Amino acid sequence: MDFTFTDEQKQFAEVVERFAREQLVPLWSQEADDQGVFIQEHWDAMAEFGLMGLPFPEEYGGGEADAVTFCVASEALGRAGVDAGSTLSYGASTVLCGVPIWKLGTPEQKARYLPKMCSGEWIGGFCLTEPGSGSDATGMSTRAVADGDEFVINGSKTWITNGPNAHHFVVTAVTDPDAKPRSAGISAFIVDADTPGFRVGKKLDKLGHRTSPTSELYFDDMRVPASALLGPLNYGFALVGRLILGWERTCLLAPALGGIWHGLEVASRYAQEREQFGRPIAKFGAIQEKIAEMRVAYEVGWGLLYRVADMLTRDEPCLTEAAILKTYLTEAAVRCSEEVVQIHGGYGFSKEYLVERAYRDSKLGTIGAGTNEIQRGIIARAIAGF
Amino acid sequence: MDFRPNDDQRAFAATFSKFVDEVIAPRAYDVDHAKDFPYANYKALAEVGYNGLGHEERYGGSDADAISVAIAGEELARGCASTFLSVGASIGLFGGPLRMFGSDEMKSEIIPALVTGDLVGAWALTEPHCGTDAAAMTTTARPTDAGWVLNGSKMFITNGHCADWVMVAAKTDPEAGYGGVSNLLVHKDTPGMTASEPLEKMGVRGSPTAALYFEDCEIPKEWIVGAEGSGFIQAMKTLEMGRIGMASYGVGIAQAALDEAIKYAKTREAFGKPILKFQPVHFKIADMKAEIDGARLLMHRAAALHATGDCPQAVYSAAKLFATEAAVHCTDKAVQIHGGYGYMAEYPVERLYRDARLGPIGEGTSEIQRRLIAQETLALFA
Repeated sequence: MDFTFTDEQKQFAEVVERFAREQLVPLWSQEADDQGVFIQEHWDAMAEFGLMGLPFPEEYGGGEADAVTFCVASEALGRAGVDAGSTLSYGASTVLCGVPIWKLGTPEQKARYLPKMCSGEWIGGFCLTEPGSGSDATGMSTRAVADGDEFVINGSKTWITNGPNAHHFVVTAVTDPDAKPRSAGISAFIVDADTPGFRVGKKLDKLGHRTSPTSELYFDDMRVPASALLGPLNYGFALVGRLILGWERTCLLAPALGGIWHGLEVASRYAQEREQFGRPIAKFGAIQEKIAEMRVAYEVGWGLLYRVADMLTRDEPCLTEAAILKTYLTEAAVRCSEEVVQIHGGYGFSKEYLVERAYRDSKLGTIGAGTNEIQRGIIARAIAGF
Repeated sequence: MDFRPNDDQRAFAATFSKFVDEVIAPRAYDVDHAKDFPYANYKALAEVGYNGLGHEERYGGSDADAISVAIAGEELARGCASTFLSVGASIGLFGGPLRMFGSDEMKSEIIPALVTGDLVGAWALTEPHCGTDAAAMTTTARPTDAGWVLNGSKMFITNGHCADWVMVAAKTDPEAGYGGVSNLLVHKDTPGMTASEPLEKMGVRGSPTAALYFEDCEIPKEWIVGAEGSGFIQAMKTLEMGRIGMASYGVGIAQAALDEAIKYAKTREAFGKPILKFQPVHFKIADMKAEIDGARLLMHRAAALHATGDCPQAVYSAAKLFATEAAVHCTDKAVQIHGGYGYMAEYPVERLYRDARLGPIGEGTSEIQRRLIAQETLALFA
C-alpha cells in the first residue's frame, strides 16, 4: 500500500494552491455573492491556468491528468479558500458535462466540444433533475421522440448548475417509456443552448454556492439531430450515470475536502489570536477538541476520497466506495464548517470572516449529486444485498 | 499512490481470516466467560505465526511489515477481542519495546518463547492515581550496587496476574520528570511482587486485568531495558504501534458488529418482511460501513506511514481515536438492530458492545488523542 503522492503531484498541488490564493481568491467579492453573480474572471483565470481540461486528452487541449492528480488540483482550490460557487461551476462543466463527452462521445462530438471546453471558451452543464424527479431520477418525464434524422425533446429540468450561462448541456430524456427497468429507456443528448425550443427559466436564489448560477430549463419541441445522441440509444443515462458517479464524487468533492482543511487553517489561526480569560482560546480543551475533530474528519475524508480516485485511475468499479465517500465527506463538511463558525463566535455569524459563507456552502453537499439518503441505500444494498 | 494491499498481504489476510473464523471466533463466548488468559488461543496463534509477526527472524519471528500486522490484528479482534488484547499486550506492548530497546541477552532469552506461545508478557505503565498523566507516576526504582530496588504499584495491567515477565516503568530519578523514567524487566518469581486477582470488568473479560504491587523488589542491573532515563521515550514509541494496534481492535470489533447486524436483519421479520428492508435499519448498516471504511483506511495509512518513519502523530492518533469510537457507535447500532435479543448474551453483539467500550479509554484516552491532534494541527498554523 502506498498512501503518498508522487513528487509531481505534490508540486502541482503547491502550484495550484499558490495560484488560487494569489489569483482566484482576491477576485471574489461579497457583492458577487450577495447578488449571485457568476465571476467570469475566476473562470477565465482557471482556464488560462489550464484547469478546465485537466483530465482530457492532450489532442483536445487537455492536461491528460489522472484522477488522483485531478483531485489533488481540485483539493488545492478548496485549501486555498476559493469560493465553492466557482469550484461547483467548474466541476459541473468539466466533470458532469465534459467527462461524459470525453468518455462516451463520438470523435466528432469530442472534436467539436472538448477543445473549447479546455480553453474555457465554452461552459458546459448537465441536466438530470426535474421538478418532479430528484432522487427518483428515472422517474423523469422529459421525452425525446425520434422523428426521421432528429429527436424532438419536450420537458423541463431544474437545479441546473450553469443553466443560465452554459454553451451546451448533456441532457437526459426518456426515449423508451415502456422500458423495464426505466433506466434502460433513457438516453443522453448533447444540446446547444442556442437550439430553437431551448429556453432558460428563472435563475434560482439559493442558500450557498451563490456565485454558481442555477436555473430551470425548458424544452419546447426542441429538435436535435441524431448526431446529438451521446452514447447508445436508451442506455445513455445508465452509462453516463455509471461513468460520472466516481468522477463526480471525487473530483467534484475534492474542493470540499480542501475546504475542511481551509476551515481548519482559518479556525486554528483565529483561535491562537483571539484571547479570552487572559489566554488564546486555542489553549482551552473545548476549542482543542473541535480542532481535533475537524482534523480527524479531514484525515478520514482524505482516505475515502483518494481511495476512489485511486480506483478511478484503474477504471475499477467504485459505486459503493463513492457513495461512502460522498456520505461521509459532505456531512463532515457541514459539521466542520459549523465548528469553524462556532469557534469564531459572533464574528463567525457575521460576513466579515467568510466562515459564514463556508457554512452556507457546505449544505449543498448532502443534497446534490444524489442525496445522502440515496447514498445510504446504495451502500446498504451493496453490502447487505436486499 | 496505491490503496491496495500487495499480493502477499492479501493472501496472508485471507488465510488468517479463515483461521480466525474456524478456530478463534467459535471460542469467543467461552473465552469471555472463562475470565482467564486464553492460553489455547495463544498457542494456536503461535502455531500459525501470529505471535511472531512483529518479531525478528533470528528469534523465530517473521519480521512482517506493519500493514500485515494491522490486517492480522483486525481479523483477530473481529473474532475475539479478548484474545486480541491479551495476546497483543504480550507480543506487542511487552514484546515491542523489548524488540526495539532490549539487549541481545534479554531478547534471546524471552522473545523465542514469546513467539512460540510458551511465555506471557505484560507491560505496566498506568498507576492507580495516574493514567493519561503518566509522568506523575510514583513507582520508584532506587539504584543500588547490584541493580534497583522497586517500590510502588501499577493498575489495569493486562495479563498482570499471569505474566511470566512484566516490563515495569519506574522512576529511577524521581527529580528528573519524563527523563527520570526507566523500564525494568521483572520476573514473576521476584520476591516482593504480588498481583491482585483479575479485576471484574465490563468487557474483554477473557483478557485478565490486574493490579501489581512491588515491595522492595530487587532487580538485577542488566534487566533495565535500554538506557537509564529513556523509559518515557520508549513508552511513546511503544504507543505509536499501540495506537495502530488499538485501531485494529476498533475496526475488528466494528466489522464483527456489522456482520452480525446484517445477518440478523436479513432473517428477522417484522410487518411481513425482513427488517433489513426498512430504511431505519439499512441506514444504520450504511453508517456502520462508512465509519468502518474510514477507520480501516486510517489504520492502513498509519501502518504504511509508520514503515516509512514519516507518519504525523495526528494520523496515529486519528486512527486510534476514530476506529475505537467507530466500534462504540457500530456495536451500539448492532445491538439496536437486534432489539431485545441484542441485550441478551446469546447473541455476540452483547459481548461486542461491552468489548468496544474499552477502546476509547485504553492506551491513551480519546481525550488525550484529541489533545495531541489539536496541538500538532494548531502548530501548523501558528
